[in-house]
Amino acid sequence: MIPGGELAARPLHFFWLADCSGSMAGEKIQSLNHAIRDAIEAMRKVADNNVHAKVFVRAIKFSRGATWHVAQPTPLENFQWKDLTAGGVTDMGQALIMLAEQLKVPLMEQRGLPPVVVLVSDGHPSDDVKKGLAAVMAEPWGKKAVRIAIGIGKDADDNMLEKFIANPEIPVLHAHNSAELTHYIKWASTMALQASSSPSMRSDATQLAAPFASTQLNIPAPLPSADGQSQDVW
Amino acid sequence: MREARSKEWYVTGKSVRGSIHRGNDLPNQDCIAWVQKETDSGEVAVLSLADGHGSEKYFLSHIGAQFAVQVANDLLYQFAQANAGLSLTDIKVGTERLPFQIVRQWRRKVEDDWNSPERSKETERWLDNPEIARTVESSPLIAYGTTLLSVLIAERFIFYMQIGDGDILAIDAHGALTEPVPLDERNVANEATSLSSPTAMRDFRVEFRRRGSSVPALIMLATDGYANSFLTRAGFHKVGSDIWQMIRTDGKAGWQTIEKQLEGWLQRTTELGSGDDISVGLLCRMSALQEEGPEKLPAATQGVGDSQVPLQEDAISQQGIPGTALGEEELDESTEKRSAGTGKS
Repeated sequence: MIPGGELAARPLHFFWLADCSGSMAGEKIQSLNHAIRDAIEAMRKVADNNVHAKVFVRAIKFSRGATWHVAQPTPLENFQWKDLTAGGVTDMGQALIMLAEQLKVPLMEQRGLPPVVVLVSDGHPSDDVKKGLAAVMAEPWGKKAVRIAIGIGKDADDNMLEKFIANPEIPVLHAHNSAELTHYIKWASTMALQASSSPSMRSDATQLAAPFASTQLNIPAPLPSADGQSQDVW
Repeated sequence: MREARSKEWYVTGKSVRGSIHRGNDLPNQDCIAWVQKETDSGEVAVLSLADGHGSEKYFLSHIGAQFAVQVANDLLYQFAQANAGLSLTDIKVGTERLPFQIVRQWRRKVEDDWNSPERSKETERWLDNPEIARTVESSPLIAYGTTLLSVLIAERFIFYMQIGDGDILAIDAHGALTEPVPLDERNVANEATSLSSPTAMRDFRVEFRRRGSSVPALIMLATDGYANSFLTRAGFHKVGSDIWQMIRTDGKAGWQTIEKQLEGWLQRTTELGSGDDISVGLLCRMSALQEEGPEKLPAATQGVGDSQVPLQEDAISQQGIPGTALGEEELDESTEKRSAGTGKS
């Protein structure tokens, strides 16, 4: 026996924010489903290497409005991906407001590790995304989150995705085909997880710089195809 | 580690390297030390602990933590000595200068260290990293970034101060627990206010308490690796309650058991909890055992023994610090809270 209550690893909340608008229909949404399902196993391997972090996963989908695809913080070891379907507009602002609600204290515990948010989108928001971004950044846990954005195809709104990341060291990742999407989703879900749970994340709260640096995240290069060129499909 | 015991307050502490740090070949970036002496103006005890930041750009934070603890203990002890004859109001006014003095002296020590030939050689490999090189070029202080928590117990007052995360708990003779230093909302998500920050003087949170009828029986200071290891905040608070209960149940034998077991407890806690370095300081007022309270409960912690552990009294040299402007009025409240500068409270 040792003094005190129950000991436990620190919680790390991981959020997928997935664009399910009509333009995602077909190969894009199928690729996204495949990529996330594929990434879960890799995430588990990362989590297994850090027994001091307990990862909980949730997902928000947005098209006409936004809804929780996985509402309960689900332990990574139990997490199963249910396929998304596409249709409607791109109400990303609503999704960000829903995220911000979950980043409030006391829903976020003081002892928690920085949350990880991965935003995937192929188009321009159709609602008030500035309001959503402001809501996320108004929360201390939103500001400190590891925020990653993946733009699918050439119509993704890079300007808005950059504002979501709010860190000039971290670029928007561009997926132009299924292989790149799988590559980036896997990187985002594992490297960001690793960075958030690393002791090397500790830093000075009064510095204006983002809490994580590009060197900690090891930003991936675009995935070359067999002929050495990236295939532009989307 | 220096052990010390005198008539009223028993003081001990330990620091363990976090299991993540062991796995990543990182040093223990925490530091803890204390001084205690019976003086002409009564017993003085000072305990400080510090937690160096973990990011790569804070690659000398373990040194920064050591400097912080040394500077704080020296200044707080000297403050108690130099101001013992003043009114409580004047002493309280004097404490307002302590964050400034600590930051100034810490910076001086860091700058001396940074400019020393030995350090220059050692840091070369770090400066190969362009990000780190850019950071220390802007200010070498950043490499030494650390938190700091201190308590000064004097005959007539107790003074708490803190910058960055970590916890100070005060438990009274009846087991009631309080956190004397207010929270700072900026200390979330692995980020903490820092001695290396340009705003450090304003980021200190302090509390001055006149010693009256509500003197704590036990004061516990801990780096954040301890609280982060417990599923709930209540579970962390239970550490203080459990330790006080051991002392209430077994008196000095209980205290000696705590001294013997503390390191093992912390080791187990980092392994099953946060994985971070953990440092804990305990100051126990043994006379509180004589105070009326609820009936003793069974010890919450097993393994209570009665072996005697020899302890040594320790002290630092006395050097005065100029006093502050004197006022005539005496404090009429037992508790005076303030936040130095604009630090949140």
